[in-house]
Amino acid sequence: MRTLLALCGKELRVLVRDWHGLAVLFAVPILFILLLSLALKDAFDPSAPGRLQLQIVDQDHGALAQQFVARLTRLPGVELRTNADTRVIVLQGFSELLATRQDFAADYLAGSMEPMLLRVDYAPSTLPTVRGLVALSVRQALLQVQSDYLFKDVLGYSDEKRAAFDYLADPQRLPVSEAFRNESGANVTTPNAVQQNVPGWLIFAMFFAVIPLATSFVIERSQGSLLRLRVLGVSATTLMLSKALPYYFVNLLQMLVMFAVGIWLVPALGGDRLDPGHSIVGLWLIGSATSLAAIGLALCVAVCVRTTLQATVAGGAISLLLAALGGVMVPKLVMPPTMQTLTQLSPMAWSLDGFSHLLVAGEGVRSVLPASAALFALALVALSVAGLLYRHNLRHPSA
Amino acid sequence: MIHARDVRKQYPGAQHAALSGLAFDVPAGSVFGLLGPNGAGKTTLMAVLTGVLHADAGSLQIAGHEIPKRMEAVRSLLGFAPQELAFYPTLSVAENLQLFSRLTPAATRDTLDQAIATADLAAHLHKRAEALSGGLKRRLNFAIALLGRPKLLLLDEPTAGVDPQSRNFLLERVLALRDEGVTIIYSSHYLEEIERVCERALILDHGRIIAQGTLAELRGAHARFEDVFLELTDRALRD
Repeated sequence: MRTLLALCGKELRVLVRDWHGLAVLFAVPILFILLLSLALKDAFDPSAPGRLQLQIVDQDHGALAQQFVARLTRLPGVELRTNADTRVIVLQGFSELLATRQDFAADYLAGSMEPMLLRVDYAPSTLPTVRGLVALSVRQALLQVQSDYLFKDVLGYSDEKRAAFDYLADPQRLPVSEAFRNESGANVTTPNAVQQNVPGWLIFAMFFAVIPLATSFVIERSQGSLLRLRVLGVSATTLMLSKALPYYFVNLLQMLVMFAVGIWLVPALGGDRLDPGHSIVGLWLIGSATSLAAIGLALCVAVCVRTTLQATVAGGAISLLLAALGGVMVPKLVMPPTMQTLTQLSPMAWSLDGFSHLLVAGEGVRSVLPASAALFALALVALSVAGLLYRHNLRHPSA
Repeated sequence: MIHARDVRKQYPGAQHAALSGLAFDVPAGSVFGLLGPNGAGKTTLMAVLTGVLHADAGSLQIAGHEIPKRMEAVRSLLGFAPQELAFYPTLSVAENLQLFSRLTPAATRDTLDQAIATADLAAHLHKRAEALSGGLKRRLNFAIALLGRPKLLLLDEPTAGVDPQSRNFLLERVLALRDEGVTIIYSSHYLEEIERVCERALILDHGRIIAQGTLAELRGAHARFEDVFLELTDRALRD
């Protein structure tokens, strides 16, 4: 125990004096949480309906064009902006074309109706779904312009009587009930930006400990300290524990810091506040399971690599791959179904699911038992493999 | 102090044995030189003596204890300074010494103070190890080996890369420890160091003992010890 405590103290001292390691473990994930929680605040907000921002450039100036713009403005979720936006609808020759058509139906049936051109300019970053929404909104506004014409000019309705037919488009008179359901039909709650990014980047940071841990192992071996420890009779188990325990406490400290960022710093900068839920035990359990799985993986890498460069490249690549696959970088919700299934190959996804039960759905400790059990099992396997590999390396050294 | 007979070691996949039937005795309270070109097997022998590697065959006893069976008993007698600077660069001199003192079975507060005094490190305790000069780093490496007041001290190239003053300091300390009754295995490429501190020496090449005895016996009719070494080990460059 005396040996273990001495080595744990040494490991923490070495880590505290390694500014690069601390930056990787704390500063980088904090920056990611801040940047992405603020940048994706609206994109992840499930309570707010999507706002479609459009800019109209009216080069037509006709009455029908103005009517079209008015109709477009009244569509729920559409917001006209005068400043530059990603979507610009240019109206040109619109009223003239419509005005010359006295009988759309007859022209259409006769096949003599020429197609009208309505130009929409998009920024290159515009998502296909947004383009679809713009097209739908434009068509809906055009249909309303057409029905205005039919009601007023053909049927002779007054404006008041005509307005009564707009109730279907009025979200207050006909509200749409929205719910998120999974494949089995059960209600699910979707995370907001801070609920996605705090646990996501916390898990990433825990797994990213593979770099400082594996690097310290390699340096110890190359500088002869490991040899000296072996001469002093330090067992492989003690050595492994002396690495695992300090990093477990570092991981718990990461959890406290990242949660503090989500609870206080993100809202102070204009983002959503992270609600930590009501199960401290559940958070500790899923955090501990994630930490031990990450440490097990880190020790596997540490005993396999030979140089600090290998430790950095292998550790970084594995962490990034698991994060991308596990829904840390690209949220699982926006992935196609096949990819959503594949996320389960990454232990980061197991952990993220566990945190979601606590932080998003507000469930209790029982909800994280399956994810925690899976992570503990992975930790057990990884730590065993690391121990076996280390003992094998000791028994079969190269010349 | 050390009694070795037919000690053999071959690394997995290696074509030649790293140690091939070594037999030698090291008297207690002497300084025993370990010589050989690069790749001769010196470091492997050190690793077997410290219990880090197990010999494939043969008998090895330290202070009457069979190695590796009774390694625990030997560990409290043993001090080892590897060729590498085996400490933590970002820790201070004091932190390194305290850490290894806690890990050394026979170390006490007194032996820690004695190691600091022997290596003359008292004025440098607060400095980070990475900020020390080459000579001070070697003295720290040496001091850590002394933490348990060892009866057997293994020094693997203890003066590599230091200035003449530091080398002289370390050699004087080696002689002082011998005078206190410590048995020392001294491995070095510097033949003048071997001549200065050792009574007996063993020359290894390709894992075999090619000569051993007192320095006078080894020197024979040659004027310089270096000529003996080059004649025995061949003048061709080694990889």
